[in-house]
Amino acid sequence: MSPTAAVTGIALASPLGGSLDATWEALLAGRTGFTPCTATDGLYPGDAKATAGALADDLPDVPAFGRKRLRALSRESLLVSRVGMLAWQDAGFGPGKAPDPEETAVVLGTAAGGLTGYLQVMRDGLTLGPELVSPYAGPQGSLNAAASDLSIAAGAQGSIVTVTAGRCSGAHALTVAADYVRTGQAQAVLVAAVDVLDPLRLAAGERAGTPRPFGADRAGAPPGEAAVVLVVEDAARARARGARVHAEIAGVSALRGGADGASAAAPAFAAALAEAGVAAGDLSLVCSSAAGDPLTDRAEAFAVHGAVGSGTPVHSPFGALGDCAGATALLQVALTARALADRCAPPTAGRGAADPDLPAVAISDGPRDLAGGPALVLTTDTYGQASAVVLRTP
Amino acid sequence: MAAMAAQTGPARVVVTGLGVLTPIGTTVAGFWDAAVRGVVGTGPLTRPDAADFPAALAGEVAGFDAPRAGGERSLALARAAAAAAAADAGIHRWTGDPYRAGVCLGTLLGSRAGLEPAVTGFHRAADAHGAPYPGPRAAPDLTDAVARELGFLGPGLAVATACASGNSALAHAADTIRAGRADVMIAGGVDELSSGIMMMFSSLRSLAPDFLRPFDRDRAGLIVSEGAAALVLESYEHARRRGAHVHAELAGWASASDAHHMTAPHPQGSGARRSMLRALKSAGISPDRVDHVSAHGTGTPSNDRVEAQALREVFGPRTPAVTSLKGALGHTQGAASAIEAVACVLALRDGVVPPTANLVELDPECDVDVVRGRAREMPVRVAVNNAFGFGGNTACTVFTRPSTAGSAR
Repeated sequence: MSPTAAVTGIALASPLGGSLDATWEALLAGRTGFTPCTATDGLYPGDAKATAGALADDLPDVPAFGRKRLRALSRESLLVSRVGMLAWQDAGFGPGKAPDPEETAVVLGTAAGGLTGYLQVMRDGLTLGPELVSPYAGPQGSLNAAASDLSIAAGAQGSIVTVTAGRCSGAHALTVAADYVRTGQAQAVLVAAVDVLDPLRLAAGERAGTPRPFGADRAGAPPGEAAVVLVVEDAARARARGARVHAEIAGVSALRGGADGASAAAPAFAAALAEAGVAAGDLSLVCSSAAGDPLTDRAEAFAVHGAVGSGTPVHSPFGALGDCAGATALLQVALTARALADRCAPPTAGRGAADPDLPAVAISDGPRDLAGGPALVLTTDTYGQASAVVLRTP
Repeated sequence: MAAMAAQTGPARVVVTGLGVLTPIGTTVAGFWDAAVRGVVGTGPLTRPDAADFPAALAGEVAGFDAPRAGGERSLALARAAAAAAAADAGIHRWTGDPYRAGVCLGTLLGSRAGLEPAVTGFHRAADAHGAPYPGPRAAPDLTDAVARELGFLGPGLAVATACASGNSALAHAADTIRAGRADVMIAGGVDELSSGIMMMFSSLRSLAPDFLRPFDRDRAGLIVSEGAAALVLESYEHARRRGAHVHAELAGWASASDAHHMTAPHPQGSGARRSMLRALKSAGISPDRVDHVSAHGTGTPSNDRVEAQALREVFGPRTPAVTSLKGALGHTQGAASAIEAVACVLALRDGVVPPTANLVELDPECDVDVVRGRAREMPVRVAVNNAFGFGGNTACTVFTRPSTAGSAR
């Protein structure tokens, strides 16, 4: 039997709070995390104003960083390194109690990591001259910066890679991590996902109003930002060291889709269940990425209804958080691990009137108790790609 | 027992298609002929839209006139390389299960260069803070363009490890096949010229004044280039079943992080050394069986010294035949190690290692067997492809001749 990948550490920062606990409590209470945001830093044409899910600036500090290093980091790098240290601690790792650094890997999923850094390099180069661009700034403008900074902060010398696939980026990152653990390429993997608000996303979100997941008058999702880091290990090894296992990763499928506008939601859903050896009827919960986008919500409604009908509880956190881009899928995984542990499904904020053109799925305005059983995380994006992750409690 | 293991063991990954667009050639044959002859593809920028680039020298893909704006050039480079590789593999449009065929492209900047015309106009306008230059709302998706063109709708993503992205994409695509999530993957790398990347290397004082001279005593940095490469990877069984010609086997791959510094390599080449050793271990091949190493060889003082030191640690004082194609190509960023992977496959096929262009006098601190002056004809059975990106992201791949596929190692 091949090894099972397990989640042993979770930490995150979302528009609802600087931790998993704070985000979870806010979701249960039905709060939303939207504030008016303006792109005022002169990095991009236009002055975008949008309602967005912005991170509060109250993240607990972690003593792993010197001031000098902090100054050199982009916001994504700073978030991922800070949240990563908290996930590491949540997994029970720390000084003198950590896996072999050469067997510790870092995987990051992001849709647009480093974009703000890149725009800053362009601004400085064009307005001050290329010779005045900071040598620290340039590398922060590339997609792999946050993963690199996390590996430096954690001293992780194993495999490293950044993957990017829109909102499904985190599911691909989890796939890589599970591969590393199952094939012995790593003992422990820091799996991160991050995207932050930037001038392009704010401009694209200018017309979005209140998000209405699966709602009749849904008209697009406001942008949101988040950072999530999980620690993934071989389940047997984790138990042997006495670690708490938040959830096991039973199956993952991430597919491109997109031909003739067709979403890969249904095939990804089916493939993840098949890998997990789980029947759709045994699922206790489906965590949807619906955020009020006309087409992706429709694809998810048909995929979910086709698989589990209208009885299995479904929820989406994105009516409260906005579209968290490349952080979406991993954020769902973290929240679903919590839902399984607490046997509780959070409400779906913001739905409004149900869309009569969509098949019914069992979302709710209030929290619900869950029967035991695995859960499935479904994530889609506007290109048609989709991912599904089956989680189960140990 | 052995027969069962052969049937149920991890899938072997083979290369069945190649496609490249580079500053020295835009077909596989043209590229390889120029590489073996040591043709240099870097020089003064000539593109009509190059006026805003903050460097005078670059390696351009000649005769390829897709514009930077909106990401059109990156998308066109990626599509062209992928289409060429697919055609070489005998695949014109995928007709099997669309979800069993995927795309994995390595890139440093994605299609961010497509934002530059709007951003440059904005900052150069007299009133930079009005809204006279509304820009694109997103950089377009490279993977999506390739996936739709070929009908490869399975696992699809881009992979970024800075200058090691091409190798990382090959590694992830191979993991995807080995894990049984796809039968065939288009894997490779793409990056176009951009002001952003030139400003970045300029801020690091890494741009050479004339030529990129790998391992040379007088090397003084790199020249930024553009390009794309794609390889069709598939499981050996899948290739055999459809009767595809196998160019080579992708026998091993690995990555490692320096965990040291964002821009400087680890002083002892820790990540580079471990990446090579782990890739060889994953291939089940001992270092003494390696004939050829396609070096990262960027021509920066620190990379080449540290890489040579790592090569000696892995292979001993008598290293395999080392070459760096970056003397000829310049640094094609996220495409570099994908283009160099194509060269490794061709070196295995033809038994020839191209020379390291622009290398005149070997740096005594880089005391490895660098092929220079002219190509070296020699049996190449095992080739290692090195790629070391900033952020300490390293990735290595190991290619072997197809004749070893199916035989015991």
